[in-house]
Amino acid sequence: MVRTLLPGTLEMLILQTLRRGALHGYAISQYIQQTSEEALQVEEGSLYPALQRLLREGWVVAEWGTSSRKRRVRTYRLTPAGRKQLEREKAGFERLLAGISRVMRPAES
Amino acid sequence: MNPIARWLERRRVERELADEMAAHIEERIEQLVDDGLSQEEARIRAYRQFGNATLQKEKSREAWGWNGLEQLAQDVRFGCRVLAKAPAFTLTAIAVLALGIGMNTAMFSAAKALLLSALPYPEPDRLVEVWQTNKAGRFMAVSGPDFRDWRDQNRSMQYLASYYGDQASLSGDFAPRRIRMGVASIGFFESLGVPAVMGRTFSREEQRLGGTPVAILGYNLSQTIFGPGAQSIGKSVRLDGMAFTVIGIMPPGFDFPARAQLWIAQEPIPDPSTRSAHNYHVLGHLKPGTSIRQAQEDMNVIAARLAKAYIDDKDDGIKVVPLYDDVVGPLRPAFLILLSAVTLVLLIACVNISSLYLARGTVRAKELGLRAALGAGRGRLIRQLLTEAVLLAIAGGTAGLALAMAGTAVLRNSAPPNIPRLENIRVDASMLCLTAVLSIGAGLLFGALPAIAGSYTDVNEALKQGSGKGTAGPQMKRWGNALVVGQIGLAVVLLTGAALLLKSYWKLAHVDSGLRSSGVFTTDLSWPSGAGNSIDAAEVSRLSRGLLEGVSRLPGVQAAALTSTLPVRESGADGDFEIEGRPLPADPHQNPDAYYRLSSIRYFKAFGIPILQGRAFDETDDRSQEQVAIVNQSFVMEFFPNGDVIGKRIRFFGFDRKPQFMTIVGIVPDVRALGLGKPGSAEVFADLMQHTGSFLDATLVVHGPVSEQASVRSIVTSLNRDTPVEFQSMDEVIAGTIARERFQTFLLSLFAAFALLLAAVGIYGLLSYTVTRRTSELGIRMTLGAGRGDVLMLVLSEGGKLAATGLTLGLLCAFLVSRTLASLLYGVKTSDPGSFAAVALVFGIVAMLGCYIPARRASKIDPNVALRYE
Repeated sequence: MVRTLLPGTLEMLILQTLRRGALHGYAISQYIQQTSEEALQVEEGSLYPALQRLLREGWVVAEWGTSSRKRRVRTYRLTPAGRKQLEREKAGFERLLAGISRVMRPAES
Repeated sequence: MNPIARWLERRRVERELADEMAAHIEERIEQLVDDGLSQEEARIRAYRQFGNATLQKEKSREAWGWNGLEQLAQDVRFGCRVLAKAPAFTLTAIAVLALGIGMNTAMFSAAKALLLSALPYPEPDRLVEVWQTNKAGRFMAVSGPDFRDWRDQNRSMQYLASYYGDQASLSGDFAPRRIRMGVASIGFFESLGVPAVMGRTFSREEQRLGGTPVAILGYNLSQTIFGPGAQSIGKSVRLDGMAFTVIGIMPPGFDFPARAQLWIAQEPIPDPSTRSAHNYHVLGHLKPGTSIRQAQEDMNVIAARLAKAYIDDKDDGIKVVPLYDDVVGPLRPAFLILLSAVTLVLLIACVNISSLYLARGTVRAKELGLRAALGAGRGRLIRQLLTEAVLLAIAGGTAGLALAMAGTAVLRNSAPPNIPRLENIRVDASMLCLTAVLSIGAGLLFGALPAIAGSYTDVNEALKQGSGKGTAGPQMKRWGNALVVGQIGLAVVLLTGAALLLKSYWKLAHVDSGLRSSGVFTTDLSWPSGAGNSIDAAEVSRLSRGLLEGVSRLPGVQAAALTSTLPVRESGADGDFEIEGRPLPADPHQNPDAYYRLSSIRYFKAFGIPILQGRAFDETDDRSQEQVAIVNQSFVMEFFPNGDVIGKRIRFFGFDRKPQFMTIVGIVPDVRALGLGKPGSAEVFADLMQHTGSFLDATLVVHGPVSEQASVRSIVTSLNRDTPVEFQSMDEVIAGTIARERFQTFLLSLFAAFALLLAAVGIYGLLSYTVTRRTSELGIRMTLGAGRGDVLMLVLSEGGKLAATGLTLGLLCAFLVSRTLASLLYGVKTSDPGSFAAVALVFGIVAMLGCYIPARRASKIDPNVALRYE
């Protein structure tokens, strides 16, 4: 179980999650937990500062709507700039992962 | 969205965020209840999973960059509240800062206008003043023939122009007035590179000898005599009675040389006999790429050539100096001293506030401790204290700026008229910035030290202490003492400087000038010139005689006289002469020389100067008789040490067209003719009426009541309507000659008084604070039998020790630095024991006063109250 993420990773996960369509905060956290099969146990609240940062950068936009449970919620949608950012972060992340892997399994290289 | 709009929107954004988070948690609870948990368990689990909502809100806010601003706003709000709760401290600090910053801004604005800014001409770096130097290296004005040779032979100057400042009577269709004018040769305006704002400068034709008489007016003069916006080009004005046509108006602020208001063209006459008449100043405009040094070398060649060719130039050299140095140089020493003094004042002010602040900081230790206990980090505490300091500095700076504006207005209006470029003094944008930097800088300076000390507060200690008793350890105490001693020392240095200048000024102002100045008034006069700017001797004679007879007849007038130059104000001319029967030395530089002045009958009577031997001028001395002269004692001592001077004959060379021998008929005592600070030197008085062919300008001297001035004026006007009359009492004339000394003494005394006040406040503040802190200790002492006198002495001796240390250090420093004042002092040594003693005395009294008030308060302590003081 992972409790702390690398800095910036949460933003990447949110962007990735939003690729499939607009979601509200709760749904985003739900999706991340389920998809990671509960491996990533991040404090749910930390989602919100991350979302604010994404809003500020213009990578997501938000609008108020109604959830499936008839609750007033704010849903977030990816912008084209956010999509580009996601590609950049993914590429960077994969390079990082590859690098880490090579260090961790030196025998195979 | 821009940051400001976002900032304004932040309340809404925060509310939405809170709603959003609440909705999230509710949704989670619902989910968990659906999963089968109880409501209570679901709530606990949901909150745990969500984490610290407040922290997340903080972090979200940080995402928008609001935190810094918000904390700043908080610090500012809190700072204002703290300062408002201690009005005595706050007002003292603001007043001290305002005065310090205000004085500095005013002085530095003046410095900028006078010293720092370049000359207001297009190529100031290429402008030079060219001087002739004598054997001793002293600068001299230049003769016409020498100037013409320089101009023809030099290779380094694009332009070389002669000029001099003069005064004249200006008349026309307006009330006649005296004006300052510049008399300029070809190349003058080209050198400076300043074009006329209306009309034009001189043409070649107008500048040649005997060219059309034309004049260029200064902007202000044109506005004054013709009215604002009036068409003045082409109008006719009369200068000393001669008609000139106005061809141009110079831009506002152009007043070279010597604050000139009008310019006329005049080429030096190419008369070889005038090579020893040093009448002109010379302005040069270097060729592009030529340095001052190259120009100097070029001029050295010319000087050597002229020295060989002409006996008059035998020992003379040429010196090229930047025009800037020439204009500003003489002012620099006094100004730098005043600037250092005012900087010291600001420094003292900062130290003063720093010590006030430090004392308060220790009193505030409890509050700071509480804040630390509630979670404020050291950084936050330092920031809080610094914010307060900067708030104070800004308030002080704003008030200081207002003071500076008032101060520069005072400087503009009260400074003596012989300081150039003074009208340029104003608090400008850059000075505004300086004020801001100074105030913030001062804030940090006096805030930083106490803030750091404050942030070391030990929470436990601070909270355990009772109120009113800080945690000032011995270190803080020593630091506070050092600050007070420092202030006292600096103030004593300033005070000593002021004492020296005051004594010097007092001596200067009380020098016996040797002539009666009270009850005497004067006016400068210019008689009209005849055809072709010549002097009509008969007309001058008629006018002078008419004036003297008319004024002497006025009932209140005891004596009226005319003189070519006014003693004390002007040295008069000096010239070489020969004594009948004594061979002239081979080297003309060894000729006897003396100052000479043309004076009418009753000149000595008007000024109350006794005739020591022989007689004064009388009615029988006129042009038909043999010329007579009166000499002063210095003259007798220098040239006739045996005293047998009456009846001897002397002849000045540069006097009249055909100089004649004058018989010495009287001896008068020396007066301070060259200025109050200068001892008399050999002087010769010639009878004005015997030389009416050699002057147009004269000064009327009247010993009589001021009520006769209107009658005198109408007599002058009836004789010549173009002659302006502007009365000045002789006392004013003499005061005017030491205006600069008075001004610098006034400023330095002002600074010193302020420094003294600050030092007194500093010592008072420290002792008051000590007494407050030691109230219970003093109470115990009194309970144990200490008398009121003992307590009084206890506190007094603490203050006295500080004052004595500061005073000793200050006097020592003053002794070391006072020699920088030497050039400003008259008749006072820089180590003058009297001044030092006076400083010690004055300072001692003020310091004792500063100590006595808190000491008295300490001795009035009621032991009962004091012991309960905790």
